[in-house]
Amino acid sequence: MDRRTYLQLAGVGGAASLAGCLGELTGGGDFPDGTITCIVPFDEGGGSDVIVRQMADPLSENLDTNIEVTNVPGAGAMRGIGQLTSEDADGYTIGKFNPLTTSIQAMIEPPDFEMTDLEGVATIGYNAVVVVADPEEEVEGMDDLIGRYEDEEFETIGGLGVHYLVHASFFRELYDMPWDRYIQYSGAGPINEAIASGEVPAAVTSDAGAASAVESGDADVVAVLTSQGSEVFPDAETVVDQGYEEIDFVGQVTRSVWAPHETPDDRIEVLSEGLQETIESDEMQAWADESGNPLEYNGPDHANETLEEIWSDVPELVDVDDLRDEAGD
Amino acid sequence: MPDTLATARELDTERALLLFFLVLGSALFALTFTFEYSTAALFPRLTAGAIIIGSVLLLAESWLPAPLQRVVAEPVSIADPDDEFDSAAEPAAATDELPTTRGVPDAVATFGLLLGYLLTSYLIGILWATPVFTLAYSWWFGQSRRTTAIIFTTAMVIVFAFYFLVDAPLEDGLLLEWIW
Amino acid sequence: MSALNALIDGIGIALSWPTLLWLVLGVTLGIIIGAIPGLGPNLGMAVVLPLTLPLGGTNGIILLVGIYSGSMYGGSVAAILLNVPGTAAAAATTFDGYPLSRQGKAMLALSASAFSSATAGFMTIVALILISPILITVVLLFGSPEYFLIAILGLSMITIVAQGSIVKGLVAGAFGLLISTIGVAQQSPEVRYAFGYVELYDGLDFVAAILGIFAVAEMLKLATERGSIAKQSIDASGTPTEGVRAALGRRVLLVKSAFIGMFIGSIPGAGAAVSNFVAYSEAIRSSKNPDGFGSGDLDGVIAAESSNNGTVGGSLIPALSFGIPGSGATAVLLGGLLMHGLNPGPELFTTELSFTYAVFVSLFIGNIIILVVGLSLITRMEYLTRVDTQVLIPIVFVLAVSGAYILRTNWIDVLTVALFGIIGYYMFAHNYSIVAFILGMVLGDIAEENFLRSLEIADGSFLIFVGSWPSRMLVALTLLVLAGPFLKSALERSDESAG
Repeated sequence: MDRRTYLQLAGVGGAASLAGCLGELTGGGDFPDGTITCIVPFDEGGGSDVIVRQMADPLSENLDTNIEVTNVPGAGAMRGIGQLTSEDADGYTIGKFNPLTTSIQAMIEPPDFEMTDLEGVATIGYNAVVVVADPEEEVEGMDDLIGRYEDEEFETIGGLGVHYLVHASFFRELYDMPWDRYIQYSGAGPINEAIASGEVPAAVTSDAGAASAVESGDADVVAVLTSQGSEVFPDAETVVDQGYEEIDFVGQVTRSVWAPHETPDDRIEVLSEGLQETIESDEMQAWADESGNPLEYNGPDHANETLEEIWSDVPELVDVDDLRDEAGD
Repeated sequence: MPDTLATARELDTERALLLFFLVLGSALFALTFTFEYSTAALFPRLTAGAIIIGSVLLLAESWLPAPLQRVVAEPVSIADPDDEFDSAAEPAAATDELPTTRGVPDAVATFGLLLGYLLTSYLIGILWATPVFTLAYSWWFGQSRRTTAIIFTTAMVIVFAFYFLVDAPLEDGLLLEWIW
Repeated sequence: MSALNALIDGIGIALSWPTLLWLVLGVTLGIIIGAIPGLGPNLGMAVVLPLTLPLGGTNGIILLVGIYSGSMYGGSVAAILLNVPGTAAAAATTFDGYPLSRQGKAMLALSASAFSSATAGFMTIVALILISPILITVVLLFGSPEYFLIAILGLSMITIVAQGSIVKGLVAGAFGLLISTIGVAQQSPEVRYAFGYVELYDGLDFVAAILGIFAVAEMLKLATERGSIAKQSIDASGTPTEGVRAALGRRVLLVKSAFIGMFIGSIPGAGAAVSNFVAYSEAIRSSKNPDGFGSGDLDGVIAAESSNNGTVGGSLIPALSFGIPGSGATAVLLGGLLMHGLNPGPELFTTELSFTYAVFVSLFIGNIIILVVGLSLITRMEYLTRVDTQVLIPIVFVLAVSGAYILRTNWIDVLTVALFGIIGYYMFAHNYSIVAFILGMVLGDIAEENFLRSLEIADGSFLIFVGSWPSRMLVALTLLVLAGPFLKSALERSDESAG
């Protein structure tokens, strides 16, 4: 089954509005007492959107209120996140996006709000970032890959938009991988194609995105960038396994839920508990297994720590101005 | 002679359209030089350049040497029929004069009414501007009560369908924001 | 996932609720839109486009495809009854369809048209499903430079298919490409042509431009043609079965015309407006009685109507695999795909294969609806052709304006509708290819992205665009397409001077 089928299944349910009425009857002044809007700063049908829509029904039951999903795509997610930050901090508006690629976007193209002002509600799962290579090149691990770039046999490295340029930059800074040109692709599909056709010899991508290409033999996993390993490729070696420095803070894309600055802690707690119940339900876990979107709950602190780590460590290790220039030419 | 008049009018709008392309192309071409990143400038520069060259060739058509003139001006087609987009009904007999109402050509009045609709929508929201627009349209073209009623009802069904089914904020208007 | 599993999945999706409802609605709407003179698939699909947002990708696209397919049949109704093609795709239908209805055989012509439309649809969709595995192989040969080149080839093809000078066509296409660059650049943090307006950061919405061109400009055009459609009474006696029997008796013609339609549809840039004439000419050429054409030969109706429905299946090939639409209607469909985050190309034939098959299967089912609706409601069709254009114009405006506003609740989109309505009106009037403009605008992002990426891969060398055999072939084809008409006219001139 493909993700579009899921989207369809997710869209059919109509129990949410009923649950909303019940909430009003029982709750009185308690939170939540009305529709909660969840902003997805990406297009409908994307990875974030599919998960949120899958969660919407069980979450609305757990919270006894209506959950409305709104897509606000554009400007590399900055438009939707900007909208989230400007909403009332009353817990009735939340957003779902990963802090890594959005933060990198914000570093390169600073928006008129502070990403670090966001309040974490929960992290709900993660995808490992991996390096894949063209199987015809028969790359054996990171040592071999770096060697090929040193020999100038390879010159280019691919990745998703400007986001994975940070990873490529870390390879250059920390692993001495002298790639010459970073090639931007607009999604996991185009990256898989580019690897399969040999347009780029290697690329940085997410494990879930590369899964279909690796399965069909059109791409090889060279290394997993987080020391936690990849749930999608449990047998693949991590960079740490191969003797390289740990880069966990950019090695995984943490799916997270956020609220505007100064949303009261007690409301965040209510939302977070509702999410925990949802994520850990048999229904969602079964869906996670089937769809290859590993779901695992962690509390607000974990979300906040992840975000802070990105904003403290990334600018320390790579020059943001260099990134901006690299993105531009 | 209405014929020559129509031709002259046509020539004028044709030239105006070309000038529009030329000015727009040149302006956007020039603006690419203010861009900070060279990659961002390349593609708009190429496409704007193509527009500039094309519109200059078309403007200068009559002064071009004969072979080049043919290349620029001659309608070419591997297929004779109209393209698929040309789906509007062909008039059974083409009339020289454009239809007018109250001395204003219908196309002009129609576009004017559309602009009025947009402006009213911006001010008081699409939800309230729509009935005003349909009534104004019917009044201008002197339609029967029955036709007016059909247009009014259909239009209202459409906007309310948008409003309730799609949950679109059609009531948002600039003036209403001040009042509420 | 194997192709067979995907097909089974696709059948499941197409038959699921409410997808089936959207299909039935789409086809019925398409027939109505096609039958009303002045409307057509482009306008119908454009107006519905924003409304598909809440439906989601699968249902939204199936609704659009249903309209496209239904309007191909619907167009024949006005062609046969009024001598006015409801759509350009039915232009050749008028030649024999109208004489037939003058002879009191409207029922025969309409039922034969419904049957041959639907049958041609069935056959070409099955063919499409059968050849889809081969398409994947071809698509996978394409890398970034080839994607850029095929976008340019598609634009060039449209330029020469449309009437008007080739330079005008290229200006229209370049105008579309240029407009698409407004907003934040793709590969760098540069904001282009926004002049500080945040509303412009994401550029002009091509759906709004499509609404302007296909809804507003068409209506402005209609406003100048007021009252030109003749009204006359029609004798609709007879039974639908005679048309079905007559069409069954012309099996060879029907199959041939269907596949002519499919083949022409599969050429980027050529659509049903071309295919119905080609099929009609071929019917005359192969007929034992060519003199009967034009005065009410049913062969003419069957050839034209089976070819235009055959074109639907064919036109999905370049639209889905390379993102190059063959006509205005497929340009709108492509806009719908992109709007719903579905990128044409290998993805539609690999990870999204079940979606693609769902669309194909829906088209197949859609033809059943054409058959049922077409044959059962023939006597009611006449009312549709009598709809007053004066009623259509304000209603289409309301749809276009509200539709544009709900796209992103951005007033820029509403303004875009009016702006491109007027630009489109004058582009129509002076023979600039509107489809080339729309295509430029829809393809702009894809073309620029692949263009820049190709240069980056080749470290700035333009030689990458002739670096592989598929790219060399595409460059050669583009040059041939652009030079072709001049070569043709030069040859004709030398023939004239010699003879």
